[in-house]
Amino acid sequence: MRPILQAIQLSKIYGDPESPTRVVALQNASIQLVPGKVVCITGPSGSGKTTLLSILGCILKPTSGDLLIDGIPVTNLNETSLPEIRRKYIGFVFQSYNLFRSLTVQENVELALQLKGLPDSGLSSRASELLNLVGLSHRKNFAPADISGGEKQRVAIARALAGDPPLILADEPTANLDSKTGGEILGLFELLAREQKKSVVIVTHDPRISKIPHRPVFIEDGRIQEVAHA
Amino acid sequence: MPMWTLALKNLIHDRTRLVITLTGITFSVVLILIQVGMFLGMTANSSTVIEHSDGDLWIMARNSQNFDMVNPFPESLVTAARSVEGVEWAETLIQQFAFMRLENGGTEQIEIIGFDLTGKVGRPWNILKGNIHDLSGADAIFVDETAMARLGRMSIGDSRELVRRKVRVAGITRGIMSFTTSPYIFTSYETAQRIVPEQLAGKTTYIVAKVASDHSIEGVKQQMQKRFRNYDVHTSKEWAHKTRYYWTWQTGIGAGFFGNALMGFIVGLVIVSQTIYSATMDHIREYGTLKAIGAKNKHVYSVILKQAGISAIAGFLLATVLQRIILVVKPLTVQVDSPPVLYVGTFLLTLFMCGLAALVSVRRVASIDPVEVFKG
Repeated sequence: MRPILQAIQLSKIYGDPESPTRVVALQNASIQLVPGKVVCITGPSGSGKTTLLSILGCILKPTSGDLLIDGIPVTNLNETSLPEIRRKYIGFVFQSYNLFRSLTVQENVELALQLKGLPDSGLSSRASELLNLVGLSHRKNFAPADISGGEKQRVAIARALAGDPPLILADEPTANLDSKTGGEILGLFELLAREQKKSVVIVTHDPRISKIPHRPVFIEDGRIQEVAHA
Repeated sequence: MPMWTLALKNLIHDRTRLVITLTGITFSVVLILIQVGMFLGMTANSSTVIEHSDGDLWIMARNSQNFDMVNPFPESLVTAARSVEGVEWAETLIQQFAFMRLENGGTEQIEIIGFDLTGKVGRPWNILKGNIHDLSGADAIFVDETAMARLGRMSIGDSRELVRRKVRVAGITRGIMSFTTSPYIFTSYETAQRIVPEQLAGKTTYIVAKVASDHSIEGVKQQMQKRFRNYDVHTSKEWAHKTRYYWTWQTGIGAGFFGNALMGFIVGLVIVSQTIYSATMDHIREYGTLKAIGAKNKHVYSVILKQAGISAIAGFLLATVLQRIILVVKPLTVQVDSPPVLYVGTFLLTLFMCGLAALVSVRRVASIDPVEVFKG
């Protein structure tokens, strides 16, 4: 199966690479993501998980190495071109949800859809479809402050699905959720991979990840230590 | 549409901050509207008698600076003015400061306009009560209703002492004010001379001439200037402009008004900058999220600038309502002109002020690294 993302020997060094005070956040990390699969990145705090996710999401530039998304080399693209790549190929789910507090659930999704280029006339119906997909159509007129943590994360997932990107990158998506809700959110990711053929990357410490089929990636000291196919 | 929704909802999300923002803009805009309006009103007043007269050429003592401060000269010169080729008619007109004794025993300075009752120069307008012909009686005057705040309430038939002469109110006008704030008192040319005989017996302060339609005003002016070598000759436009320029700029009064308006602009700018910046910082994570999910900087800037624009429109509308209320309850001795161009100009200035205020926030947002949104 043709990979949607190929990361080849990615390294990220903070500070002057020649300086003894430099911080090596990622070293020679290589990974391939294919449609319909969930990849789970785990590792201790400060191991480089978020750095890897940020590079895969095209919001952080690697110091060296190559990144190809849908065959397009993106490492050397500038900030004028990268937003287009992010809009087209990537959906983000954040640990703290990062919803727009002043907008309703529906408007949060509509905003993302507008950014992805959907015409205004289609925003409302598409947002409703996405909210229905994550089981939140009954909360569409609620403010984020008035829904539970699990529901917020579902809104964030609906927002990530705006524009139908092939890649979903989730950073600790269950960290702020209780056990049952966290399990439901992970199940939703698995559903997206299986039924919508999304390539899902989840950075997590959550042991419940073992309950869904995934490919584990373990990082320590900025190096990918182990890649085993599930 | 969601971008507009985000801008609007971010704005009203924190009501206290919104109130502070709108208060700042409203204060600023009201100050600008009132100060510039007063400036325009007083400027218009300074040349109002000239503009309500039908003459084309004004002859006066040499080096006169403005309408209100002129020296008397022999009235017999009007004959010489009439004899200049191209002059259709010429009249004398008196402008003279004097003191009126009030009912309570105090005195107020007034400005006498003494005009030819059969002529076309210096006549009062906006007459509420009375008739011009009522001034033909001995020592009759017209007074403006705005002057009554200073001179005391007066009705037709009331008497007052002007210099040492008893005068009778024969008519009341509305909205005729001088730049000097000394109320205009209109009276006949002869009465004016009788009131201040020491300065005005056999004298006038202006000769105003009308140029025949088949002659050019400039050509007749040059002939007139040759005839009146020791006097100044101005066209009506020139004299009105010179008077306005004197009062507004040579005295520094105009700079004072615009200084106050500038102060209002700066205070508004600082308050709006501060509130928009704090609103931006409050939502900084959301702007980072916008960038992370694919928004370009221009999308994020547009949200902040839309907030500034909405604030400007709301603040301007509130300020306009407040200004109209102030104008209704204002002291009648102050004229505030509010032509449509003042509102258009002030609205554009308000947009500029809010746009400028938003620039600090735009700079901050430009520096957001979307990586920050991954920090839980």
